[in-house]
Amino acid sequence: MGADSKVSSPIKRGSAQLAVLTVLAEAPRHGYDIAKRIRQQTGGVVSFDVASLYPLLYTMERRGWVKGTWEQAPSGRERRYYRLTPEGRRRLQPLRREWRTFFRALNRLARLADA
Amino acid sequence: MPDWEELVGRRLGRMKLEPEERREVVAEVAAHLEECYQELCAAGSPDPEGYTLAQVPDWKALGRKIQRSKEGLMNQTIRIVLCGLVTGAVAVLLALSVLSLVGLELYLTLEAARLSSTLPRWSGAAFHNLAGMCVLWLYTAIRPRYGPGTKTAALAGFTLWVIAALTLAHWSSMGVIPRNSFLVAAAAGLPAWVVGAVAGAWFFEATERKPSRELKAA
Repeated sequence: MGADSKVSSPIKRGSAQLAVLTVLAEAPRHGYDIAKRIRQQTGGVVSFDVASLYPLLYTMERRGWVKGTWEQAPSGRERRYYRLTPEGRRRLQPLRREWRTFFRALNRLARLADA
Repeated sequence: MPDWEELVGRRLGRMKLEPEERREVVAEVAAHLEECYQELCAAGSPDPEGYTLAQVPDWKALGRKIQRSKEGLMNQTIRIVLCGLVTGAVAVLLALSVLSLVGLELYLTLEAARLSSTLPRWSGAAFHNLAGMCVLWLYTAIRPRYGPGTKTAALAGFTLWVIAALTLAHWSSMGVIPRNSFLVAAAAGLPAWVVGAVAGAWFFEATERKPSRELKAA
């Protein structure tokens, strides 16, 4: 993820899998499209560059969560499109729950701090 | 516009992946950078190339990260150990078969030495398994340069044989083992280690993930 983002990197690293799996749950996408979609959906707070995106995608592919296949993009150029596998879908549900619980806890903490 | 594929290929050139897999990675990263560059140009960026390249501050580190992600460190190590055991087993069986056929004298000498040795019975097998792992490790180290396959495996096996033969030659020159025995052992060891290395490398390749498609040579 980009060094210029506003959230510290350990948190972003932990949430990176969730971000990628979530945008791939919408539709198959190629690497650049995944990064662009995440940037748009998070208002630029979470952003991936080449150095962070591809090692993550390859790790997820090795674990069988996503599958990459070469297809022709609308531009006519061959791109590697990533799809969520059934294993990836199974992984996404608990990941979403974990992060929702984590952010709820942080929200409660923030409200206590504000009070 | 820069030739992104050439640029990425040059900068990620030392990545230790299969040639096809490396071409896939290079094509994918180059396409990403090209799209980024085109978007920056369209947005009127003053330095689209600089901004695009700023995404990768350290190409060597990226290469290492990609390699680790693709291979999986444990996966690679386990494969080297298991296929090294295959190499050692094939080599020792073949060498013993050849020795029992043509080098009976040496075989009996070795057997007598083993009986009088204070080393445990399994030490010989352990040595050969360890040597097999070394051959496989050597094979994986030289594979990116020479390509996967029989020739590279044979080269790795041959290298181990040279080291073993030089050691035996040294012992022979000191009179520890008779010259004839050294010659028979060296002659039996050559096919044994070459065939063993080829067998181990075959298993290593058989357990390799394959790239999602074959790209035409860049």
